[in-house]
Amino acid sequence: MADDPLPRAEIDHALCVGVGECIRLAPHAFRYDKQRLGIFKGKGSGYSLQQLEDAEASCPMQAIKLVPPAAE
Amino acid sequence: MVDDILDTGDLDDLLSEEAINSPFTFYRRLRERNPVYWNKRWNGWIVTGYDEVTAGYRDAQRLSSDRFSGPFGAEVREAGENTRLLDFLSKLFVWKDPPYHTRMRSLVFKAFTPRSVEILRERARELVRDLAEPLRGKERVNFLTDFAFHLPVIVIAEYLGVPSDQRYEVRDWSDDLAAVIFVRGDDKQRMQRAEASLARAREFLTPVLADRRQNPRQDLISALLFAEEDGRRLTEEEVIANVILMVFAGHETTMNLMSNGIAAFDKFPDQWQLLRQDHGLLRSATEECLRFDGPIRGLGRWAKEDFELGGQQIKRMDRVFLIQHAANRDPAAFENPDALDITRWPNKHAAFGQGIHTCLGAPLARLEMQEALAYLTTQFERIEVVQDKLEYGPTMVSRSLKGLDVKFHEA
Repeated sequence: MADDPLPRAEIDHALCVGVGECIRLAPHAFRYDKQRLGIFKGKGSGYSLQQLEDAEASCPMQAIKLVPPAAE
Repeated sequence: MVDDILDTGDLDDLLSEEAINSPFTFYRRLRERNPVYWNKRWNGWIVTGYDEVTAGYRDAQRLSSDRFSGPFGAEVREAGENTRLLDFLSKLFVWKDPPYHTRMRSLVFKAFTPRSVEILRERARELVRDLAEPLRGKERVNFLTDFAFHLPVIVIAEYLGVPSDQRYEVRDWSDDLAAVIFVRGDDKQRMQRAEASLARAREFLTPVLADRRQNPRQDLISALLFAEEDGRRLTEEEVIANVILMVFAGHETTMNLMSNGIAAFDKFPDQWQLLRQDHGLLRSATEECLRFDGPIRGLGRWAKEDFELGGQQIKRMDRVFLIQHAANRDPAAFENPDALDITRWPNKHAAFGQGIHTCLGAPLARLEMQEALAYLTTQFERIEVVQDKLEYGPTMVSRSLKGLDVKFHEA
């Protein structure tokens, strides 16, 4: 694969209250956990960089942070 | 002893003097009895524990917000022969479940992300400066009516694109509609007043909508008119319903947040001094005001199926009242919960609710509160509530002062 790998999303559960905008915007990247808070389930496919960036920008709690793949 | 008298108070009376004016002792007693407590009189569950309230808010699958079916639906229908009002109310997405709620919310949410509302910060700052001028040098001002009312209603009116100089008119119809939307929709007289107000709101908004259809501007009404989701646009009725929703949701709650915040700082003057010295605390101070005495006491839901909440067996069709005001003072979730501590962080209060119905306007409310606190702490060395007893509106839903007489002391 020549494509750059996508960033990973971190959700701060000290801020997340389970609004679910990220899940609506990028259903293949995020899901609810048992407490109905958002978690990143990204396996690197089924979603786009744009979707991740939208989720980060749209989170009403500012709980999502994208971490570049190089940082891993 | 006052405490002894209070302790014999009626736990089932959600509108008692204690419940309305000293809610935190009342909620504490309820929580200590049972964080999920069956209230015979209200005929439903009263939830006051932090874990239980937040679990309830997040569980939109089992706890419905729909006021047009379930136990609330029958009440609303009984009271409303008035189909136009019911039809209008049924378009408010706060009262709906997915998928309707999801579609409507997604159409408006873009305008309320933290990034989107940033464009309003400069204007909010300017308004705060202007509105604070009349607070100076007076023995007493009514902070609620003279300051807190104006800021949010002007900001939301300008953002929507409706004339803000008609804000008293806007307030009047918004209050009448809020009385059925946020308080209770099963009172005939209230329904009639709301119906009349709806007609006035419609009269007020129709020409604005017609104008924006022809000449779209950079405002929210234009955005709503032209917003598209899956190739479908909002109907005119839906736009009007959403605008009305945003006007009242956007002004009364933020007004109460600011007033309750000033009342809280009056009780904890050291926190005012701390904020004066360090504006790096504006964000956490705002969250702490939301936690300490937020504008919403609680909201109702009903169970779509049997399930367990906090060890209690909730049955299908049971009414459930989630009290975030109580959750936010739960010692199991917050250390020293009855103290205002503006350095508290993280501060995962439930003032905006949680889950899919989390207050859409939260980022805007935060911005306005931050700007108000930033300027008022700069200008005034001390604030002093000059009123013997604070009195609150007798509702189960909003935590709304009837007035707040304050003396602002300049440095």
